[in-house]
Amino acid sequence: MIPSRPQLVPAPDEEGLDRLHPLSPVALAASQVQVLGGAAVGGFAGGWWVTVAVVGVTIVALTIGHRFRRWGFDGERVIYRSGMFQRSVRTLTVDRVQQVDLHQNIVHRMLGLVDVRVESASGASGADIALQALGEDQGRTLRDEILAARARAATGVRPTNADSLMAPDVGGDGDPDVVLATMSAGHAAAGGVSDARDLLLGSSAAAFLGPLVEDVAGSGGAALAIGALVALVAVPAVAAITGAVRYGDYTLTRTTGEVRARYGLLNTRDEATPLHRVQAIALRENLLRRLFDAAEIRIRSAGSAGQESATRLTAPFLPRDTAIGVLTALWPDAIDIGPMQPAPVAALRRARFRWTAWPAALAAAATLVAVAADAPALVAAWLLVPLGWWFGGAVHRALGHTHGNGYLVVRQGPIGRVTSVVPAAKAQTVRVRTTPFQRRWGLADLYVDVAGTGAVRARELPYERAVELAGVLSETARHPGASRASSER
Amino acid sequence: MRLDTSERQPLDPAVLRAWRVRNLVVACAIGLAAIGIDIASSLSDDGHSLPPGLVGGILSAAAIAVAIWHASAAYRHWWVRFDAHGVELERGILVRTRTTMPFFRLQHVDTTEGPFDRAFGLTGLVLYTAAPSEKAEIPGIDGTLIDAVRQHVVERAGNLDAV
Repeated sequence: MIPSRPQLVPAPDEEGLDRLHPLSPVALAASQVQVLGGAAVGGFAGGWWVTVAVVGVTIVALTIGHRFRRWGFDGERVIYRSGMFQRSVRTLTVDRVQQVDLHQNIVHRMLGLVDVRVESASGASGADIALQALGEDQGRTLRDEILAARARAATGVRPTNADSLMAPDVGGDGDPDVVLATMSAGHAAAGGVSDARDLLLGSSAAAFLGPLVEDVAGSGGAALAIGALVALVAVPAVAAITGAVRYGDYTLTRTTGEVRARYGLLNTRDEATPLHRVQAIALRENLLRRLFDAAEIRIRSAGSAGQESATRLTAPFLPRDTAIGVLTALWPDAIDIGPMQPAPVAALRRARFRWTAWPAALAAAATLVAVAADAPALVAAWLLVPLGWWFGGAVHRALGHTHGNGYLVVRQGPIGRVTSVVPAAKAQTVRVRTTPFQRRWGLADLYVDVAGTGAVRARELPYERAVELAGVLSETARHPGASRASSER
Repeated sequence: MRLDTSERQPLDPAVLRAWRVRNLVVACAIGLAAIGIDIASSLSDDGHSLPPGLVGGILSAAAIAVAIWHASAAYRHWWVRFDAHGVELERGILVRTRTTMPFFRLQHVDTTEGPFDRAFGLTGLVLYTAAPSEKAEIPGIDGTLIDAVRQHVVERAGNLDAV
């Protein structure tokens, strides 16, 4: 499918790399929201010729840039060359590829284009190579070829000639897709609403506290309450529409070699990551999701570390059983490895202390203000203290961890409950971290750092258990084959 | 720094001297600034009841005491352990962190030298994995040993795909 083949792509310093799609400057110009916004404002302020000039200059600049952007794929390397004055050549070997994503916005779809984004574990912000844009068929074929070549590289099979790349038989598209989960537009909308929980909580709090503010300050409270009530209606509506548009028509599939998510009503995305590159999986259940017995699942790869959204496949709203089914399909050994071990009693004492100390200090300050300003309602702040006591208990009850079959499973969060699963074999480093307060209670946090963004954190373990677990996980990371033998508890 | 033992090792004692000097330089700079501000404000304020420079002097003394204590405490809580497969290290005064890094996860190695390190003939070694959230930083390795330590680490990294 690549014009320069069946010959391998020449070395980057030679001519022979392909240009991007001829319409890519148009798609790029359309994605320059700030330029279009500037053109519109300019047109409004200075006349239509300003708009024409801004859009024209943008397209001319992008067209000139397009002439200097070339790419190629020779079955082993993806090469991207760009720059008019300062030329840059980026080469990414397929064995380092973590993820290949296809992105289409509405302009891409109208023009039959697709962006191909190739990620490694470089830690760079954004994709390592972003081909903006190729023809839709060309982009999809390129993605399949890169993944097939990567699968071959992983198994040590090398193509005898370039044509063999077109018939992948190791992982990749040669395997039938197994659908792990689908998500209706309704579920996608619900996912959008549950992701807007912070705004909803803020609006609810403002609606509740508005009259109180009015009582104390004498004005502004009613307006705050009315604004918050409007927000309470508007925020879920906007969030639902956003969720449905972003995640509508969602399908999560698995082949022997990769896991793949396709979604989006306007901007469509087709994201694939090799199964053996998956670093951690998290099930996230906030209050809204729990209300509907649903969960979000995040599958984290080692893609570009500077941009968390580029390092994961996310299904924001699945029935809980389906979400667990996805985990079972990807990592069957991580299921049923024993009951969660609760956090120790010392963690309960610490949580209660933490969650009552601040409310008590706040209530004491509120009492002083109440006396000084003659506002007895502020004394109600003391209600926060028993609330904090209860919340501390809830924080403690939510904590748990278990380890076995070479996996660590960690649970935390009384409201937004997150259960993270990480294979010990993926641990890059293992850390035991203690603060002075934790040392006082004999507690420690255990961090398992994986490639890509962030770490999986087991909170408030007994110190000795954290050190012991760190040793076991490190040993398993060094000798992944012995993971089952080292499993315990 | 010894590579032929898998016991915990403290840092080179020269690190303590380097850290003390570094902290003292910083503390003295802060102290001089505090004394200067104190004297300037005393001269511009006729109703000043304390002798000029007294508050600044007290702050300077406190800064110097903290500087010496910090260097000693940081050194006391630092240890590192090499074995055939990886490195384990612990550091931190208030928040204490113990990190274990298998060598085969290594992505790249840096050496670092600040001006105080160079004055005491020391070099730092920084080991990076594919996890951006953590790196293993071993300060104060004798400059004459740094190549051997780096070679020891790189040789054990192997050529497996560590991601």
